[in-house]
Amino acid sequence: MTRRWGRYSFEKDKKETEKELPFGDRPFVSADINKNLKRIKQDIGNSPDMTVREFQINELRVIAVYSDSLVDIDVVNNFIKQALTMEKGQSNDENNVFDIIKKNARASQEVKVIREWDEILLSILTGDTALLIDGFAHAITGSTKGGEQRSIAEPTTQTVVRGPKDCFTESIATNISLVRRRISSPNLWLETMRIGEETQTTVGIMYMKGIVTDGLIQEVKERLNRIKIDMILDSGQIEEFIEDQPSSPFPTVYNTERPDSVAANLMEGRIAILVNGSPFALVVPTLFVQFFQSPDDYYYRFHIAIFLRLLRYISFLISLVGPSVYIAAITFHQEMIPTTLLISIAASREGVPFPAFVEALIMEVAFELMREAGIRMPRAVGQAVSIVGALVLGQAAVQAGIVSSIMVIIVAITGIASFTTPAYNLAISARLLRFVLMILAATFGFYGITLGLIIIIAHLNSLRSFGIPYLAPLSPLIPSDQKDGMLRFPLWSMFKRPRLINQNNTIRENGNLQPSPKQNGGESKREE
Amino acid sequence: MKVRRCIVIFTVLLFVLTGCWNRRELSDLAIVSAFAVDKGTKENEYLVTFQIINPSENATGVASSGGKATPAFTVSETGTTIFEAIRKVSKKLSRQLFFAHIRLMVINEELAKEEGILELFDLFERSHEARLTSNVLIARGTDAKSIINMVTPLDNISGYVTVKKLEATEKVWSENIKVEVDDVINGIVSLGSSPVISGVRIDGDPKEGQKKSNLESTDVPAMLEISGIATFRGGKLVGWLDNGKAKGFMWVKNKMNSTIVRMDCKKKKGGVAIELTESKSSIKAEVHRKKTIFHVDIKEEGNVAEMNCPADLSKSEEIKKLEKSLAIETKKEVMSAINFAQKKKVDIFGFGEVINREDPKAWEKMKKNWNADFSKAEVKVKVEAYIRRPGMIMKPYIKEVPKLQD
Repeated sequence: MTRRWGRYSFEKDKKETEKELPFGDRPFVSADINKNLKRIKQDIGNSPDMTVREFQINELRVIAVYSDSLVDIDVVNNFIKQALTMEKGQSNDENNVFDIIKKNARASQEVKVIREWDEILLSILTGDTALLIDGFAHAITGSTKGGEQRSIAEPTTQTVVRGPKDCFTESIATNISLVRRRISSPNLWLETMRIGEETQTTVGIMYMKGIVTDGLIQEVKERLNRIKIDMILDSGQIEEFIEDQPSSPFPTVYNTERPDSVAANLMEGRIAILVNGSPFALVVPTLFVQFFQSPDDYYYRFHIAIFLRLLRYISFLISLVGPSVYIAAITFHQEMIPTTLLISIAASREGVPFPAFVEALIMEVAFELMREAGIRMPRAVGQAVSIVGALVLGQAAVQAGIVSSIMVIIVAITGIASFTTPAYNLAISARLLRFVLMILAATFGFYGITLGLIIIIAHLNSLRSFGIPYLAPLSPLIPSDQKDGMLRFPLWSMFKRPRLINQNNTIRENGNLQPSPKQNGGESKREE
Repeated sequence: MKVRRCIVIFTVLLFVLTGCWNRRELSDLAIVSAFAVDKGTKENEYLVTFQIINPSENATGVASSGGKATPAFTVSETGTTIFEAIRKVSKKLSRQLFFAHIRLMVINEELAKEEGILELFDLFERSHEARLTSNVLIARGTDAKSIINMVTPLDNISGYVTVKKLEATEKVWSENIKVEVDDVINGIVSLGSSPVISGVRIDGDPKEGQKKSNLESTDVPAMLEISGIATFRGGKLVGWLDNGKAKGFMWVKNKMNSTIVRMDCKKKKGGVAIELTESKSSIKAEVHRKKTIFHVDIKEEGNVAEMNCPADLSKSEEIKKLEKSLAIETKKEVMSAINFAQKKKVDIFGFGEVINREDPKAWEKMKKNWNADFSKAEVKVKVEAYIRRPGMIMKPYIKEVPKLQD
């Protein structure tokens, strides 16, 4: 069965029988090994990395097919050797030879018996080795996956000072193992499916059976099953297909490259979606407060964690409204700026040819340019570009009188503030909305900013992530969940899992775990 | 669908039906720091002078043409109303006047005496831009214009400097009262008290004070000095409270923050300086048929700040003595203020309001003729004075000096 670009036959017609189809389209393996050989070459297009090895056992011809680039060659050799080495007396029985090979193969690898061509090809293309035996219309495939892959490195986008330093890789098997190593519980369940008609990307759904609500698993599966597309290369593509409100600037699916973060989220009753080829796992359902929580919040002592979390909220607000407040204050509400500050702002704006809004726009755009350039430019020229950028933007622009020095400070503070949000995808939404708010501030002053913020908050209130209100536990207000919302209470005070996400198994701690000095028992021991 | 349409319409209306708003670039504004009202050349006309800040001369660190211009300059214009002058001044200025940062209004003494100050504050209440918290001062012995024309050392903008001086002296010397526009308006409106406004004068040659050279000599040729408290009756200036009288007024008004009380010490006149740290006053009224009695109770605390005579403060009798003379001294100053007010028939203390609070019915009858009644009222002053700390020493070294000479 060949697939044509652009027009897929997603619904395979099961009624079609072998006889009615020409040879090339027959869905099942033939008993004639020559036909099979021809068919493989035809389907894979003679790709040089496809290896076909032929063996002769007594009178029996066996071929092994595998892809050079996807297998571990030692494993393949071992598999073939094990499968085809006959013990005394075994080979005589011609009718039994298929079962014997299957039995032998099973000793070395996990083995499947398949007769559909599609499945055989798929398993070869994911690193298995297929054995075809003359006279039998079935193939034996053994798992021989191997090949080069990136090793586990330190996280690059979600760094922490204290806490685990491992990070997901592109291999889903590695990623699953990273989570499994953290949760050695039989309740950690994994389901996989393949998404992408051509790429056949493995997508894994992980959850804690007994903690997660069943409806949620069902919903996630349904949304994933809806995806019919030719390719999935990263979890970001999955995210776009399963999010609740695609037109919103705010992300409703959390992504992380940290296995510890995934493990913690699973324990709260969330579902993790792992995608082969992507070092970012998706976690649903997602709350707004989640984007301000960094994994090391839980590894620091709680005082610091509370302070850092509040700092992040403040800096998010700054990154959202920083320039617009400045614009509004100096073009509409000059009376509310302290006199001496107003005088120095006026002095620095003396001779600036643009209105404050245009000035802010110039600087913001310039900053966005630098930021984008910083990500895209070749590492080798990075330093040169950043020096030029800093000098041109910071120093020269002020000296040339194009922008005021206060504006440079505002833009710099805003820029730095936007980097403190632990989740990059939320920081980007603030970045976008900032420009909208700047326009509102330039036309309506604080009134415009207020209206803009009201609209944003109303919008946030309307969002849902897999049925959970996005602003929970702030709106609706859930008092018990405040312990791990905007604040982070001591771990020994967090008895329960988040209420809306988890309803089955809510208790996570046993009694009062608050450490305190021993009441009496300690002394008697010392006397002895 | 209907709901959605409504939401869209309301959202649009939210933006369109805004109240008054106005976009103004900072570089189109002339920030006014102070303004002065003098008599105009013609009848019924005011000469209004605005002090405008030169931003580039005030900022530190900004590459400016620094040193060429004065930190602020003034523009004058005449008009029968202040607002007329404000608009007329546009003929002389490239930028629009911006009033939200006014801190000081100076009124000409002659104007206050002859025409009164009643009409001057309407604009402050009516305008959304001007602040009711601006301070008011009366220019004493000079025209109001030259007060804001001054170039002053330390802080550069004379409008703000003057207010700072007023605040500082009110805090540590308490001979002047900081009066804001709304206080004046309240005083004008109220029948039971009359407004007071502190004065400001130029110590030196006003002409010299206008020049930048005023800053170039160590002995500053001309200085602004806060001086006295002007009292008003019917909106017209009737007299000045100075020195002890002004302090006495502050005591009664419960505005005494801290001051130095000068007292005699043994033979030496004015040998002791008591630093007042706390003072509280309360006024009570007794309305009788024929006359009204006011009880002014003052409780004050002080430290010995300086004592240039031998007295052993470790003994409680000495302290008692000092406390007694402090009370007497206080009472003297308070009485001088009260006598002055009664003579001029201006109820600057707000005694009328006290009656209004305590006996509203009686006040209804009295308020029409209050100024005359006030001058006849009996005022009983009671002072309780305490000296809490003698400072770092108990016995002054001065005591021991004569012994060594023997």
